[in-house]
Amino acid sequence: MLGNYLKIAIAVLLRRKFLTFVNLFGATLTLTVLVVAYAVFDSTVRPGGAQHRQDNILLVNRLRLTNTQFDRNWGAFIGPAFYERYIATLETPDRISYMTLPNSATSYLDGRKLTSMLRRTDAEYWEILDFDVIEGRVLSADDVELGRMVAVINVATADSRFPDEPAIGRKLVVGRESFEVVGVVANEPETSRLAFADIWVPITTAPRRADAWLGEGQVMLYLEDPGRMQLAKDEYQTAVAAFEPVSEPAVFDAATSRAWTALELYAAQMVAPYLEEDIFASTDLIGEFIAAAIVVALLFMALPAVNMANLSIGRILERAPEIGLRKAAGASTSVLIGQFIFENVVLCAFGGLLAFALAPIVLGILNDTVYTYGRLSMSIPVFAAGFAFVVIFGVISGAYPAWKMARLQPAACLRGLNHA
Amino acid sequence: MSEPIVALVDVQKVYRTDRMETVALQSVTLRIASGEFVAIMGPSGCGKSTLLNVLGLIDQPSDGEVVFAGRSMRGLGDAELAPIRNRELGFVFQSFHLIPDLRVVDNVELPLLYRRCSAHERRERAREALGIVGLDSRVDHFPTELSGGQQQRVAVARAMVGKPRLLLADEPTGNLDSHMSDEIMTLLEGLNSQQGTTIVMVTHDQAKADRTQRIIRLFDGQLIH
Repeated sequence: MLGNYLKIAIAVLLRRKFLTFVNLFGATLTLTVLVVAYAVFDSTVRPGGAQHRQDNILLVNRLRLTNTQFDRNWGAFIGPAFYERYIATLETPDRISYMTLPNSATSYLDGRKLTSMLRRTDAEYWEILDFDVIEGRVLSADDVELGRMVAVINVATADSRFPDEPAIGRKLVVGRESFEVVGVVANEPETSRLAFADIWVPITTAPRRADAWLGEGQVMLYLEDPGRMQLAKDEYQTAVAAFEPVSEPAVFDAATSRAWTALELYAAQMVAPYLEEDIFASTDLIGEFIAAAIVVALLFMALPAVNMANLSIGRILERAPEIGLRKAAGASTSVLIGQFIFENVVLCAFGGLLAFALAPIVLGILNDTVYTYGRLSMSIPVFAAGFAFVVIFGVISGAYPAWKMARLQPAACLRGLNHA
Repeated sequence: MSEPIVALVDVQKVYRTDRMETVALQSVTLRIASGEFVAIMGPSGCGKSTLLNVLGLIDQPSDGEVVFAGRSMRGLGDAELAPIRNRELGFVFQSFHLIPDLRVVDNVELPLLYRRCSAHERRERAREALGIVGLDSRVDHFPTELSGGQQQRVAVARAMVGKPRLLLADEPTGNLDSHMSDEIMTLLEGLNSQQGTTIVMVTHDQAKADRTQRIIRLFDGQLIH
């Protein structure tokens, strides 16, 4: 039956080539945008590369301290004191890493101003993330403990700073600090939130106050068994709830913070502001995020879908005899609805194929222009999502015309032809 | 007369628009016996095709009752009528109504698509039907590659491929020359006499009607006795 439908679908597409072109153009454009958007999302929550063990990692990157008496809040990233007292002591995670966000650092080379992203890390960072070491080594526990002025740089930095000679052992001046390069690792893209940087140096090289509760740090909790994620989250909540009042930098007597999976964090960042949710306290906004993403995607599909539906309805008269004939031959309304939706999905599948051809070009442009060391690509999940978009778009744009066509009375369809 | 395969009881059919009502059938009561070959005659616009459509369950009467194989069709919806049309009825139209984008064999298979039937069985039965109408060498042609008479033979093959008990033909020879008309009539007569298929045929041609067993005459939507 599907073979018969397919033959008809292709024949119908070839009957009116310009109309088909208009429909195909709309479908291709819509599906390309959706596929590219999903590729960006996918690379953020499942970055791969050094973060290929993402599913074993929880991230703590926000902390709010509250003075409950005066209802005064101070929110920021994690300070060293809070880390040492409430996070480093957690027992459920197998590894815990404390590191900063990548910060912009400027230096000059041969009169050229170079801007790099510098991240300060502990030694555990290199155990949890799995960098591709090109030369030398990564930061060791001794480097961190002794506060050695050593650095690991990525390939791009090595190429730009030391184009004609090996980078290992060379001096690297960043701002007012000078580091010895001990390792070169592969570039990690900007979408890999935990791994991305140009230069990594020991966290102990930073001028910092060890007693600061708030700071610019974030923490990775690594669990060999992802099934223990909830246990780790609960333990962290217990630790946060046990926060003891502090007087520096002001009087605070309560703390709010969460340990997130990558998807939870992404979802919270995307929807919490619109839902007026407290992003420090939100736990699971994945459902809301998915609902919002579906609504946005459907709205995005709506206009081209209405256009396609309109063009399809315009062809009802052309297909009336076939509809009458099929009904006379025993096709029920529901079977015909299925056939016409299938035909529309076929059209959208052609649009999908073109979108799959176009999307890598768009992703390449984004990799080159928008995302530093971008690694956006057409992965299997992106293809799967693209396939789902094809089906959904096909059904949405085909449902109403199909319903309208299939409900025609067979005698009316046939009478419309021969006027007997 | 044997048991009727289809009967109409006081059937009316009225087409209504915002401005006017057109009575197409008025108090029509008739029985078509199983195995009969019946011609419906009458002037243009008298309701012949409407009567055929009501008999073929592709149009609903405004009033009255259609009884098919002893079962009242009153109140049945599309989902219940579709399998009856599929298994019990075959249609041949004046303008053939072949799907131009499908090969001859695919056109003939059409009714079998809507019942449990493997692709292999569909193909075999379609080829067999095309053999009966003498077109077994044209299975892979497209309808536009055939003459009018050959196209109508394909339409007859499509109507009979599902082995229906009742075949309804709406001026099946209306678009054909006398030689091809004769071929189609011979085919229909063969179906009726050899396979026992009941046939109701609308025609303007008295000579064709004379080849059937009974003539029903219609004028202004009413039967003339």
